[in-house]
This record gives sequence, C-alpha cells and structure tokens, in this order.
Amino acid sequence: MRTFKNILYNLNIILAGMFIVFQILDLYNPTMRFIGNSVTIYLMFAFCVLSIYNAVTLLIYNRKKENWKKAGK
Amino acid sequence: MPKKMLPLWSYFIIDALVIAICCTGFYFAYYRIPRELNSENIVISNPHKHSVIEGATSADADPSESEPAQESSEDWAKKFADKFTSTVVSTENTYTSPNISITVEQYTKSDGRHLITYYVADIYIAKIDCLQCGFAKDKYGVGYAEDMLSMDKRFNAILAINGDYYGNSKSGVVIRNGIVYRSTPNDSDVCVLYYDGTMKTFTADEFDLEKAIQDGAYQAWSFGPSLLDENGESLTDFPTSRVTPKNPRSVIGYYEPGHYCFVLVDGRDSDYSVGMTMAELSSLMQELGCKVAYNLDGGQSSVMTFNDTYANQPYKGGRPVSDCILIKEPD
Repeated sequence: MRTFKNILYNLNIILAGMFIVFQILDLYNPTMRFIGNSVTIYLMFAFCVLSIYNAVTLLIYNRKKENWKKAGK
Repeated sequence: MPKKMLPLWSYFIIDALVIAICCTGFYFAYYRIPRELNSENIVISNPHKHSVIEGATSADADPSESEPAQESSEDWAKKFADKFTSTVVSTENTYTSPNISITVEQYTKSDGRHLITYYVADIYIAKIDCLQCGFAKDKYGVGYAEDMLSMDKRFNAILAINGDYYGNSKSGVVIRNGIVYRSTPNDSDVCVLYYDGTMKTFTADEFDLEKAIQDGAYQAWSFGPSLLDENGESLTDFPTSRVTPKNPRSVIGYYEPGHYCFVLVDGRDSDYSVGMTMAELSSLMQELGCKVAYNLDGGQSSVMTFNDTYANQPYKGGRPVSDCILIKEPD
C-alpha cells in the first residue's frame, strides 16, 4: 500500500512537471496548443483526480496522526 | 534486514527524467509522427461556371430567372490586360504570361533602431485556378511537412508562400481548391477566398460554413489574425493573435478580384531584418492599399519562393511546413 501511494505521489509530480513544461512551450509557440488539445485534456483530468486523492489521503493521515498523539501513542 | 531505500533526491531526479521522456514522447507522437486525417471531402463547385444544358435553346431561357452577371475570369483578363503578355516573359523578379502577372520587390525600412526587410509579390491572375493550395507530400494529415522549395517544384509553382500550417492542430477550417477537408472551427480568424475572386475574413464566431459553401468558397485558412478592418484600415488590437512581438511574417493580401499580394517579412536577424509586430504588419498592409489582409504562419515557417528559388532569406533556412499557397499556370 505504501509503495502504491509513493507511485501516486510521484505520478502527481510527473504530471505537474509535464504541465509546467507545456505551459512554457505554449508561451514560446502558442500555435502548438500543448495545453488544451484532445490528449492533454485527459492528462489534466488525471492530474486533478490524483491531486485530490493525494491531498485527501494526506489530510486523513494528518488527522490520524493527531489522534494518535492525543491517545499518547 | 531493513530494506535499503534510495535517498529522497534520487526519486526527484527520476521524476524529472520521466517528465522529460513523457514530454518528448508526447511531442513526437502527437505532432511529428505522420498520420492521415479523415477528410470531410465536401466538394464545392464553382457557382460562377456557366453550365450548358443539352438541347436547350435561347427560347427556353427565362429572362426572369437569370442571375445577375458575375465578374468572370474573362473579365479579369480584359480588366488587367496591360499586366499580361501574350507569351511568357520571365526576369529575375517578374513573371508575365497570358494568365499571370507577378512582380516581386524587396523593401527595407527602419523602425527607428533596427532594419526591417520585406518582400511584396504583386499578383494579377486571369483565372481563379491560377491560385491554388498544396499539401506537403500531397497528404492531408498531421506530421506531414515538406520544404517550400520542394513543394514549389513539385507543383510547378511560379510563386509560393507558406500557408496556415493546418497540420499543427486538429481543429480549424480547412478548405483547399474547392474541397472542405475540415469544418471544425477553432478560435482563429478565418480567411475565405471565393471562386469569384473576392476575399473576406471572419472571426471564429462569425464564420458560417454553410454560407461559405453557398457563396462558393474556394480556399479557407485558419491562422490569422485578420490585419485590416472592414474599411481596409489598420488595426492595433489583435485579440486572437498569440505571437505579437517582432517576428518573420507571411501575409496574403487582397485588392480586388484577380489582384492579390503575398507579403513576406524576414526577421530574427538584427543585422538584416528584425521582423514586424502585428500592428506594424497591419500598417504595412494598409499602406500597400489592400482591402483585406490575413496573417499566415510566421516565424521560421515564413518562406516565399519565386521561379524555383527562395525569394526571401528565411530564418535558419526555413522549416518544412504542412501546406503552401501557390500561383501557377492553369492546368
């Protein structure tokens, strides 16, 4: 489970990095439309879902950690 | 024995490598690997060609049903008779024949600090067939690109300029030589050349494909922006333009049916020509007296060929493009 989560965290970084690269490329050559074409729309969707999933799991983990501290673990 | 983990920074290095590989792979898969697109293959016939009905006589014709006479190609040949010659006459910067008259001139001006060099090809044609478009490798699709000089020779063009690089996108209206290949608009201005020789530009919202077909669209390009307003006056604001700084530029201009121009501005060379902004280009087209002017793909794509040689000095020698606009003798 931990390995799976680590993969998702890294995938999130990879997708974010790709969109940063695409954004920079679009600044130099806007006609290429790296962001907004038929493929990157799906990549953006995947990136958003992953971000939400990772943020939610982190919030749950932090909440659990607080509870453990209160319980004296 | 606890499992030895890699240091954290190594994961980030691996992520960065994967980002580079994915971006490069996406670029080649989406933009570079040639693949044909499905053409909509809607043929638009010339509504101004007179059709002959077998067996009909003048008595059969109903005067009330006759349409107003349209300016035909025979009219252009008479209207611009002083421009054409009975035989082909070709010099270093001119070409005249019974159907075509082209004069290519180089101009240099200063924007106050730098030089700007541009080329104007003044074109008169007797038949609309003399202005055609060509696809790279003769294929309609993504990833097909060909050097302008190669296309010039393959199509037997006298004069050619790069087109709108339709192959870079999967949307944008594509009408070439009377065939609708793609009707999906994008947010670019659309330029339409009709069979009757007139040229109009539309914003993406204004463009109506059905009306264009009805009016006899012959060519349509999607890049833009349109450089002049409806009165032929220059513009200063280009909301659909994505590359406004000084750059090499390619433009198609329209004066009247049968009279057009190609304008090519060289750029990205501070010693020779820095290029033009969109506003400067618009002013130039107004100075030239065009009624309609439309910006085509620029930058390294900006190439004009004349008499099988480069007419301009393309940035880094130019690059292969997906389509071109050419002037050639009718088949």
